[in-house]
Amino acid sequence: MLQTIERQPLKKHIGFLRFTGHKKGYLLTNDTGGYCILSVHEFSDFIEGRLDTLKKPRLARLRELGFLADTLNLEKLIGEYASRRAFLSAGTNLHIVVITLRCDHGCIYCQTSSGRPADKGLDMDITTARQTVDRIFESQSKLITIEFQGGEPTLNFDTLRFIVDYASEKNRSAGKDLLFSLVTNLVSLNQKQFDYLVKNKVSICTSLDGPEILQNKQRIFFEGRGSYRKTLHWLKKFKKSFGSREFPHKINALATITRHSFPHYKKIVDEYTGLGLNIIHLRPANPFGLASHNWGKIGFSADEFLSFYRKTFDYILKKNLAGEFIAERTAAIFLKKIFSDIDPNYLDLRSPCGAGIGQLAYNFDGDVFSCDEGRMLAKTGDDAFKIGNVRSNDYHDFMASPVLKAVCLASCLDNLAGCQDCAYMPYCGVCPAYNYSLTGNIYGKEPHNDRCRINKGILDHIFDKIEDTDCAEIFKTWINHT
Amino acid sequence: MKITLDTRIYPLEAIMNACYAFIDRAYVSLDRPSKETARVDLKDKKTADKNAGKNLKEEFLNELLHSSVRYQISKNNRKIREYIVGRALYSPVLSETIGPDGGKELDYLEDPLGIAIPWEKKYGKKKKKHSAKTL
Repeated sequence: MLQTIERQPLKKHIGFLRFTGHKKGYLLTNDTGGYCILSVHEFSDFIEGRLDTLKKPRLARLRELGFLADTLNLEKLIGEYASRRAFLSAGTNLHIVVITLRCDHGCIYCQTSSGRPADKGLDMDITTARQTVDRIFESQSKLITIEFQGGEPTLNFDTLRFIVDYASEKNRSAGKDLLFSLVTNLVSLNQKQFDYLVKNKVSICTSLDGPEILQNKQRIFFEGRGSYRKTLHWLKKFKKSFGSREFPHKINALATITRHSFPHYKKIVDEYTGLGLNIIHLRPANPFGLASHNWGKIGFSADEFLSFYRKTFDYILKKNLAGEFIAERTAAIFLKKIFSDIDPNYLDLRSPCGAGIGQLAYNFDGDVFSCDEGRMLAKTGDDAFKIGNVRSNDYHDFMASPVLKAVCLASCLDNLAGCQDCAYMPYCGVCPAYNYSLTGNIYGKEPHNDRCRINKGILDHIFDKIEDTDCAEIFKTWINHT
Repeated sequence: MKITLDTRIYPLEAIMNACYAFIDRAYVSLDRPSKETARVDLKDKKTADKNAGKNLKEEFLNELLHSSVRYQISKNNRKIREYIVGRALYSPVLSETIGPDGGKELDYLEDPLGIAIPWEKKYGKKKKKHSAKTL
């Protein structure tokens, strides 16, 4: 390779590709998500144009995926590229409505700092809720998901009920695919509320960090008690009630990972499988809000998280190889982008990110933010990501916001140093709000921040396993669970 | 440590990319002593390791090689990528105006959609005929 560069310009038989080191040599990827793993010798032969020395199946794969410039199937590549970017013209589909900032928990990794249950003036009132729904229905997206967040949203159940009823009524004429989702710790629910949520097909997303000892260390009431048993009581009820019912009846859980989680990696997975939850989302805690104050105790480096992730991932894989089904969600999102031309539209991992054009966050007082991370930042007194208010602006104003344009530009990977030539670019995404929280700049210094290191580490691990036939078969079953 | 590079071998864009990849490990500055050379000054952020400087230089040169290959591949494929992205994101109409070689540009005099044709010329007669029939 060195000789090639020093002697002459690179030959033009090579189609566009990105590459990175791999345990077997090099991993090649292209704009439409195709990948090929070559040994060091094969890579050398390929780069220097000695195609006749490559084995036929290898050459056929390179040709089929568009790594050879002289045999490109343009219509196929154009179709694949368009499919992977279909979200660009879909409109904003995820609408996060923060109906209260009150919370009954003081979790040690909380990214914001919520009010106490008895605090006043932190709830969304009905007038604001009505205007919020009106703005939501201005989106041109056929699919509308209204996601209730907080604080703890069930503490303002009247507003939740109003939004579900009003949006459903409004949708009778709008005819959109309307979904509701509730992000809740479940602990303050009562039977009446439970029945309402089930009847109205509100899907549930809760936090389950692992076994009782871990959950009660991390997810605690303000007075210090753990909440494991209450969460589990309602989680099991939802699981039983939703049972085998069709989508959107579903309950998901995610596990927030701190330093305390590391020794429990097997028990975390066992907790999920024991409850019949077959998707686990291993989400690293972020050093923002309350978590930043506790970071000395709960924090970790990217390498420490990745060491935990690899062990947990391998344990999950082992369970799958033994016939049990459980998928890790971040890996499943990456795998969907690797194995298919359909983007799962996970807003944190796409280019540009979902801020504004994929999601909007409506605060309890009607302020609108480009994303939930930006909304959380405003709680610390910095409203850099605010793009309007439901009372004085409409959806078109939100879309025309210069803040939103800046965030879109800052998350287009094609423009970013460190991303534009990264082999993992077709599968990845950046978060301008994360960058801003960390450095005061929406443009991140990839690949030198922990978020990038973690994403790369996860993809490294996936591509280390992907050529194993058994693993690949399991991976393909995960992609339907994104 | 200073590394002098021949820009006829290593494109400036590739040199800058390689420098960027090192900014977490080293303080980097760039200079252009002559038209055909670039000079990179790398200062390791961790100076305790005696071999750090040597490793840094070798790793930088490897990264530079990767960057050069990436740059050349990107340069060779620029037009075809623009064509693919243009067709995928904008409109099939583009395929009729910009060929995959990227060479043919839209000539406003060609007016393939007939936008410049006056309405009367395009529809006038037809309308008259239609009106008469209606009456």
